[in-house]
Amino acid sequence: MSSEHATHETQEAVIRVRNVSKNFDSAEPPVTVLNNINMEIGAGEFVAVMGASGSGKSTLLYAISGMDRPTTGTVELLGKDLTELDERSMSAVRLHSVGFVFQQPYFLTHLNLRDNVMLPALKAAESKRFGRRRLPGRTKAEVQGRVQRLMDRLEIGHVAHHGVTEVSGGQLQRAAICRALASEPAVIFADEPTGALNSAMSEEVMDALAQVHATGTTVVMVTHDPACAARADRVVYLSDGEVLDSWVAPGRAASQIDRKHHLAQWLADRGF
Amino acid sequence: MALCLVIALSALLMATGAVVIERVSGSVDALFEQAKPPHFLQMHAGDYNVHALQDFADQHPDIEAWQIHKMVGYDGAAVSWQRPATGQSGSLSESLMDNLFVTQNPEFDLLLGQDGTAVQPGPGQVFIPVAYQKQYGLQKGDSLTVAGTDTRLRLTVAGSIRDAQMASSMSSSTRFVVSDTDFQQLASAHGGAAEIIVEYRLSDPSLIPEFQRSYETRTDLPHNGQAVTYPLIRLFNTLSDGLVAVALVGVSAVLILIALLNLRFVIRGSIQDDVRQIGAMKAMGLAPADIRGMYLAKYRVLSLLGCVLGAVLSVPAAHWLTRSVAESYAQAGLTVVTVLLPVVAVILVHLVVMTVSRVILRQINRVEVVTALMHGSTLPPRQRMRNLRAQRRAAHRTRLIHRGWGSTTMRLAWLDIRTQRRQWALLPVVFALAVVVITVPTNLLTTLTDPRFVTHMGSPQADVRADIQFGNDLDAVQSDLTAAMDQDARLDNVRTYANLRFETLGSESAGEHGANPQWETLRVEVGDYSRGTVDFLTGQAPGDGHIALSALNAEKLGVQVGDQLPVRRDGVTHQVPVSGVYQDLTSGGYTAKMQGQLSADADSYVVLADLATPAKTNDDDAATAIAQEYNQRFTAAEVRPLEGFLRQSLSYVTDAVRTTAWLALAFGLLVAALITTLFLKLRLARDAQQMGVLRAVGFSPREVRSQVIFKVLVAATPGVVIGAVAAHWSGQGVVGALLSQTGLGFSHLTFLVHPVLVWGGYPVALLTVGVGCAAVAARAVGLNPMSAQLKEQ
Repeated sequence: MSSEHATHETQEAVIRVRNVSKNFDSAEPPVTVLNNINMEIGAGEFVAVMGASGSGKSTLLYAISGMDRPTTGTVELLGKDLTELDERSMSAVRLHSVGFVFQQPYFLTHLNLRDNVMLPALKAAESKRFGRRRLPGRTKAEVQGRVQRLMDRLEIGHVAHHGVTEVSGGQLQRAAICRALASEPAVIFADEPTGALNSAMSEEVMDALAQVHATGTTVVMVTHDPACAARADRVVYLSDGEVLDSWVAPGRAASQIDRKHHLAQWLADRGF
Repeated sequence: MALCLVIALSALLMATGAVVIERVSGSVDALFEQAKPPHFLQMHAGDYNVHALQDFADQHPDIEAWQIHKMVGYDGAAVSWQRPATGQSGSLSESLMDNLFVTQNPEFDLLLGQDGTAVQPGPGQVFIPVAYQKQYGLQKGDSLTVAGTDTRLRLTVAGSIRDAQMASSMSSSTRFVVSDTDFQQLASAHGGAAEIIVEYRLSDPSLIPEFQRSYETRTDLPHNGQAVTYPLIRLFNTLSDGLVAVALVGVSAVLILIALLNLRFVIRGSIQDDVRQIGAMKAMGLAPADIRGMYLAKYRVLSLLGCVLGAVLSVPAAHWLTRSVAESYAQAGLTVVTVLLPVVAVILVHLVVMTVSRVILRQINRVEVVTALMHGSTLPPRQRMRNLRAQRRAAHRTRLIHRGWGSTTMRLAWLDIRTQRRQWALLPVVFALAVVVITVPTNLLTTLTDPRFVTHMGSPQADVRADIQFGNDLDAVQSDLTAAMDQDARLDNVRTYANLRFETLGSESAGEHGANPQWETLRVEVGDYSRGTVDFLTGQAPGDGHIALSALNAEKLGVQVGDQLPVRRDGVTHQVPVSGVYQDLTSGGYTAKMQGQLSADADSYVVLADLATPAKTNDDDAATAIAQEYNQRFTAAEVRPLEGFLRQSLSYVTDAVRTTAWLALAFGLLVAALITTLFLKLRLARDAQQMGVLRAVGFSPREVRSQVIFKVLVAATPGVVIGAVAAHWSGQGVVGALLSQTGLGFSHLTFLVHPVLVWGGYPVALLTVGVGCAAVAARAVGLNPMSAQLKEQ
């Protein structure tokens, strides 16, 4: 039970994971967190990764998003093998191709919310090239306008000039989503984005992610919460560092309540 | 570790400074005890009245002993040395000192061998000054030939002597001891200049000023040379090595300050890091004193380690610095003080560190359990809220987008350091102090070695200086010499000054409006001051009928520019307005200058000349060659290249200051490097999460590292600039004030700086060290996985 091949049937894969393992040799005793993972994620897909604590969900997310490197195996993101890239190229991938939403909303406290959101986009706008691709130039004003529109869309435009200690957790997490989207990446990764929020705020954040997905952006999310996972097109279930199984959401016509019931039943069958 | 090293450096310098002070002082004490230098001496050349001297001695029961010390002086070019074993030879012509041949004194002013006893050379033997032994490598058994115009005397070097009176650099003379028979031969030979020193030992050294005044009021006593007192002799002896010791203690004081600032940063950081544990300990019921005790124990060990390391290293350091002290002076025995003084110095460093640690650790008292556990803050709720509000206000004000200002990476670094300026304040302060430590000794060194420094010493700047003070017909010598120089195409701007003795009302009378007025001698240099002269501290050069006073004289007489000074000569008294006050290190610092025609019968003359432009450009040593030529033509005059003489006469002091400057440079750079490394290590650990965020959103490790380097540059640069300005302005004030305490005649010091070094080289060197350390410390940024960095808090 070490592989999974349920690629999105209709769309081209943006992420290809081949035989990925991750060991922490410095731990005492050394541990294997991921064990020979194989999976593909299609363009525009919304994939949730679930599993018990310590099953390797976050480690998998870090490995496939370019935040960390696997011990063995290859990760292909938008046609690039991340395991072959040097640090500088990896940074460029993080800047231009992916957005990441953490469980804790990590922000720079000396900047206001808007500047925090704008930071990667401004940085990306300064870059002239990404790999062999020549990037279209963007002015600072254009970046500023786009970020403001993004924040308005996620209903935090009115607190844009506030400090990060002045707004609620939900607003912060939506700002984190805005930041992840600011440089218009192809894929958004979210590591338990609602883990530190109450249910009302969780709803806000999931609505925001759903909005992002609706625009065609690929979303890969780690979550504990079946209600959040039910928003995804597909759920990959991890156990002890291996892909145990995967759930594919019923057709688009199914209501959110039906999807939740369906997923809950599927999870219960697997002892979750 | 870095903190421990800074404490060790502070302790090392403090202990070394203490040992050097004790050794120099002890060695000079020992030398003075054995050699018994005179309490007052008067140099003289020419005829003198022995009966007047005897009469003066009879009238002064406070004289314990007195003697007329006879000397015969030879120019360096007339003295040569040979080493028969190797065939090596040379002459003392490079030396600009007066080489005085003497016999051993019977009672006091003894010239001591290396074993501390008075040397007694046999016929054909000579004992040479320690300075020459070092300068020319002369050894026992070498030959020394003294050439008169018609005779040559060959002597054998029997050893070197320690000379309490003339060992110091400040003395322009040095003594060789020969037997009575050889002295008679040297004295009777043509080519030598006979001089005497009248020397007195007093029963009570505190009577020296009064005794000097009494001597100078007697016109029938020998007087056409310099008068020197015991405190001045002692000061000259201790100045060069003492200066090093004082500088070491000064540098150490700055290092202690740096260590304490650093300590504050480390302790506060450590309390912040452990605040939840502190909160938990308080919640469990531990008293703040107990918690403080735990931290204090750690810093006690750190401080003790540093102090012990510093104390151990100070033993070889002090030995190295004082290696020449025992040779020049006497071997002072090891006493309890020798051991205790550095130990006390190190204990003092430890106590200061511990006291400051205790004060900083009081912050633990203010940590509140709930705030600490819930918010991880060391601050009371109200202050925490105040800080939060300030942080919010700052966030409202910041704008990442700024018109035309650098890249986002640098803009972000700038905003970060602007917001966290209090946390970064340590770096500019440390760099400012490091610049002061490095620059002040260098400024002192460049000042002492600058040709313009002569104007600070009371002598106008000139290329050649001739002193005519010994001989029977000074007026004729002066007139011939001036005429020869005037006709010499190689020389230009020849001017002559006559030293005359006036009398003025003493300081007692000046302060008490004429009560008990007492006339005392005032040495006045008369000549033309209209064509450029010394630098004046206040006022200007004297015009007709005006007088300018040296700073020491102005202070002693209690007069200022514009005041009237009563002066008397040949029984006629005039009220002369004071036109200006200048600094003078010559003639003990008590001099005066008057505009006027040269008069005959002066005590001595000074003739100054500049090199004509062709000579100046053709040959750097032209002044030396011309001086030598005139010395041979006019044996009664002493002609010197002024710059060369200054360099040689100040060489001991400049050598000592040069050692200090090198040490200070090394320590300053080392400390800047240590503190920058320590600071960044702690800062980067605290900013790990923030750097993790930057990497997560797409900043490369290289860009994050460049932010660290940029922040170090931004923090250190104003420190370096402020330090350089402070070193220039307050440094010269402090050093000037210290030197004015020496009584040498320094009342004011203007640094003559090497601008490229002080405003360019040193700041760039320090900033390079800071950037280098930042680059090394920031290497860690790319080494840790980002996920680990994000979890740091």
